[in-house]
Amino acid sequence: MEVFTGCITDKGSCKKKNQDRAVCHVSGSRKAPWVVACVCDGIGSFERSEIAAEIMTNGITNWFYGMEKLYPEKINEDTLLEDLEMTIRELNELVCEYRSENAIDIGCTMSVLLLLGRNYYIFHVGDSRIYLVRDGLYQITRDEVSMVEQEGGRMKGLLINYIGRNPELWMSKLGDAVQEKDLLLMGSDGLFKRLAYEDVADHAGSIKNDKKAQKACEALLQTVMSRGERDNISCIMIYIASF
Amino acid sequence: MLTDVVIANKSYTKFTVAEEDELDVIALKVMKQDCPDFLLPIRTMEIDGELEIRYELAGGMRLAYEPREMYKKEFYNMLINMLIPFKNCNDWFLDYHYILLDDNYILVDKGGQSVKYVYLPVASCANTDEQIRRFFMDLILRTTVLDDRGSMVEPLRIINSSDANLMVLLDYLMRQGSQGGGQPAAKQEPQPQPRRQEPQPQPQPRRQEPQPQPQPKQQTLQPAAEENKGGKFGFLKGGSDRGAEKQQQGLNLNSGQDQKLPDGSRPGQISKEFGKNDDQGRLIDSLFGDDEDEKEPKKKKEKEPKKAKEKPEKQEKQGGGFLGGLFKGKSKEEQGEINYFQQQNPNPSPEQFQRQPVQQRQQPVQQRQPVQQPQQFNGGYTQPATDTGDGDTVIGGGEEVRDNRTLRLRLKDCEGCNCPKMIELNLEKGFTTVGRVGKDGQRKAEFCFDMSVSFVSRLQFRVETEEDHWRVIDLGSANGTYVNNQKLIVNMPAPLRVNDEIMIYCNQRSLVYRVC
Repeated sequence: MEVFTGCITDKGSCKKKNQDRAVCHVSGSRKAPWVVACVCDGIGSFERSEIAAEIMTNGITNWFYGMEKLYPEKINEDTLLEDLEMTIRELNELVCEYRSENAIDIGCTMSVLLLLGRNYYIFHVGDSRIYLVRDGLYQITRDEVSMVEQEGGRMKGLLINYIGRNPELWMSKLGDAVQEKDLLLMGSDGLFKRLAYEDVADHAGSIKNDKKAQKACEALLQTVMSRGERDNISCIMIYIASF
Repeated sequence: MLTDVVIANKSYTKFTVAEEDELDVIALKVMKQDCPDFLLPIRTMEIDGELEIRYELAGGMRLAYEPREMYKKEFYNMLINMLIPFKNCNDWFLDYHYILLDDNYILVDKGGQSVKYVYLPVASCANTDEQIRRFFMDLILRTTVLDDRGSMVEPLRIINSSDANLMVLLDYLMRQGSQGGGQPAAKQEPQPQPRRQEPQPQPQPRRQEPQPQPQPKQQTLQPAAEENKGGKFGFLKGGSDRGAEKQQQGLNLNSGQDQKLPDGSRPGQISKEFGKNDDQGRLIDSLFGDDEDEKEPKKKKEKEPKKAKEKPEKQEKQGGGFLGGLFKGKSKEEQGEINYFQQQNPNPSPEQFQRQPVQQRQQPVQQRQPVQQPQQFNGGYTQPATDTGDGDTVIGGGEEVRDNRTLRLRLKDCEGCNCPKMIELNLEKGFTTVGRVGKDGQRKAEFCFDMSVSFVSRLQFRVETEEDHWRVIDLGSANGTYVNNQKLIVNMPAPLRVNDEIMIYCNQRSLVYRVC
């Protein structure tokens, strides 16, 4: 299996700091490479939400380095998946503990993707998104947002679920199989507000190695920023070149 | 007094109300029907005419097992959460004197975010204000604050101050909390924002106006008490209207007037006997301090000579009064000791406080605190190993006693993880904790497994030395701890001996260690 990945996060053109965090790790195992990627978008209305996003992405990174030594030799797919879920729940508890210990509001969205061979698994909280690019742009995750009408009839999306909201985490779990030449695109809401299928399709065809994947991510980021996006932007691309 | 029992794999502690005990019926009703969240829920049973109250020891870890080393923020949070119930008792028609102050029966959850107490609604179980004060002082003294040792000085000074009470301490801690002082140093903070640390004012304990020492005349009590109700004294300040109403009621009843509640639901007998919030007594004490100590027991002697004989010491101690006059009951010796510290150094360090003989300080609390009965813990657990078979020292009656200050665990089996083949736990201080490195890289336990061993909790179990063997206690772990294939009951110690096997597992992953 050959996989190319790229990952980028940026504070955008207007925000003072980047509350997004994104990580993507590919195991060194040639026999069965596997990928874990996580994108977290700190809640803008909480001043220090980047802490929550950082706790999550650091935790996923630590988990990956721990599991890299164990999978697939010592543990199987089910155990790996179970361990990832336990880890995410613990990280959510840590965010909650941080909140209450320090009496500050923090929280973030989270989309974690685990690619094991032909199968992918997703753990999702909030309104970051994961798309499957295969002859079109298909949104896999569902935004956990409720629309409310504001004064003047304007509609606004309110985040109804996020990491750090409650020690008991309510999390969507999804999974399916990928095919050759599929592209999994992950990002924060900043990326997808002003993105069209054509933008992604243009770059997807050019991904032939990790460097190209990284460049494609940067290009997407520039595209979105040039269209006036003001939010933090994060983008992760996982391109399945062959099995 | 309290007996720990295991029923249906849950840990309980039971308390049997003796025939001669005065039971607070109202408190019992409150706890049964609308138990406040700071108390352990109860079940009652009547066996052969004796009332048995069972408290479920769930929803946290015993305070005795909490780590003694904490960050300032954590410790302050825990103290606040421990003090708030004392303030809120009034709202539930309860009297904070009857909260059991025993480390083994205070359950703390999530590093002190929630605290649950045992409430003993029996007259003979009342704490004196001095005992409450000493309990909190001991708690502060035995805790080491890792990031700011000096932060313990102010709480100690407040609690040692002759004119302060726990309300002042609570106020101080909450103010410190709201100022955001004491960020845990080890917490990882991404992109550390240059956050200006405002110089923290050195809050002085709120001094209460010196108490006038009028002659204790009954007719002057009520107006004085009403005056105080407005918030002059400690916990009254936070009391609700219901509490105030009750205080008023108690006052009238004890001053000899035959009054009833407006709705008639609360007959006067409760206040006359037991079950009242003895606010009047405390108000009197707060007003008249030590002078009242001599009078109050005399009054009670006339009414209940037998009881007064049984507990003269307790009545004397309670006379100090927690509100305002809380610390007036101090002996001259102690007073001198405190003054010594205050005179020698206006800013004493925690070490100076520790110079006081701890044993002496703890004595009053220990005298009345229930002691766990070791034999109770053995029920349902494995029998001790009798022979190691490999020439190791055998633990048992009449045989060679092994040095139990080090516990060696040899890996027997490990599935789906990389665990060390041999673990040596140092038990020189009497206990140690075992867990896993948190996903944020923080260590809660003294011995930590690798982060990848996710099925082990951050605080899995605790091992203690017990005479010639060890005891193991599950600290509320997610997947449980097994000794010789028997699951440990959370918070209940079980004996651990040579050749016993400790196992932790979750689905397909497990680790088994053998004691050697």
